[in-house]
Amino acid sequence: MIATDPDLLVRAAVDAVGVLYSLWDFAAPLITAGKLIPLLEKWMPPPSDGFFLYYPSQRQKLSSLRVLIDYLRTNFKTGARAIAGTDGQS
Amino acid sequence: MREARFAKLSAFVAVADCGSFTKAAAQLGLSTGSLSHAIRELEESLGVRLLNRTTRSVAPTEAGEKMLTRLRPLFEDIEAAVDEANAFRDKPAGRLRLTVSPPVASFVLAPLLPRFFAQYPEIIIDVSVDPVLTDIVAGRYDAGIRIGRLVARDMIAVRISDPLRLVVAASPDYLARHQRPKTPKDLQAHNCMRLRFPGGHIPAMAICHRRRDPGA
Repeated sequence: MIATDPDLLVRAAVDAVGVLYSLWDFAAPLITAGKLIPLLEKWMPPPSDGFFLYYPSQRQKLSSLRVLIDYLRTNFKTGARAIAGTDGQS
Repeated sequence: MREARFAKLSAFVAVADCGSFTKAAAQLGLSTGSLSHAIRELEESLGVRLLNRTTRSVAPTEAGEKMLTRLRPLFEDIEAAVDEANAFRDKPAGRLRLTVSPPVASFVLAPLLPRFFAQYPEIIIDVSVDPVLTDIVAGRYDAGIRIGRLVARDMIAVRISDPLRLVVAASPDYLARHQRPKTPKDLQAHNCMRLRFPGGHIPAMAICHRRRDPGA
């Protein structure tokens, strides 16, 4: 199964339709709740890529944009950091 | 009098950019009726037709197009002047137009915005959730948020998250009824569910073929 909506894939995995392959963050609450069990953990590649904010260079001086960027960089924690150290064992 | 003309000119640019009275009216917070009345008044006062209206679309006339090429940079200058003044405020304010993908809306914005608004009550965030990659400049957005670094001219990309971790997972119920995969090869026997990215790209299962060192 292939879909553009991660919620649909995660939901289908919980409903035992198949094996989910996804970003950890999309499935994290269900893994914590025990409704999805991580598999093949020793084969997973190291974390890569990431969320990016991008803007036209002429918007650089926009103060509201600057505070949003600072806020997101400080407060947005993905699973890679939140789970580091426990290696996803819950 | 001058102020009224300024408002009408700005309405004209909005209709031309949106290609629709309804969309422009929504953007400006006006009714479609009063917007179309304002444009008609502008056309009457100039004695020139600026927009061609059909039942399906609105497009500038030749005169309208010529006027737009002069008006657009002027309005951008006005916006820049207002932005610059805003930079001197103690508390940043104003509307910030964002285009984000659906996962960003639910995994980044939804959990983080409440505290952001508590901290910056004078910023209005105007979010458009677009599954397809949007042209930020053409759509007049201030910024976009997506997974992955986007390479585009005159565009600045800022990483806002740590590198992302991937997971292969299944429900306990599923594992009770199927052979549990022990190596990546075993996945061939399963219905593997994965994401299609905007533009149709389906990322390959980036699973290492060699078992990573347990200590890594």
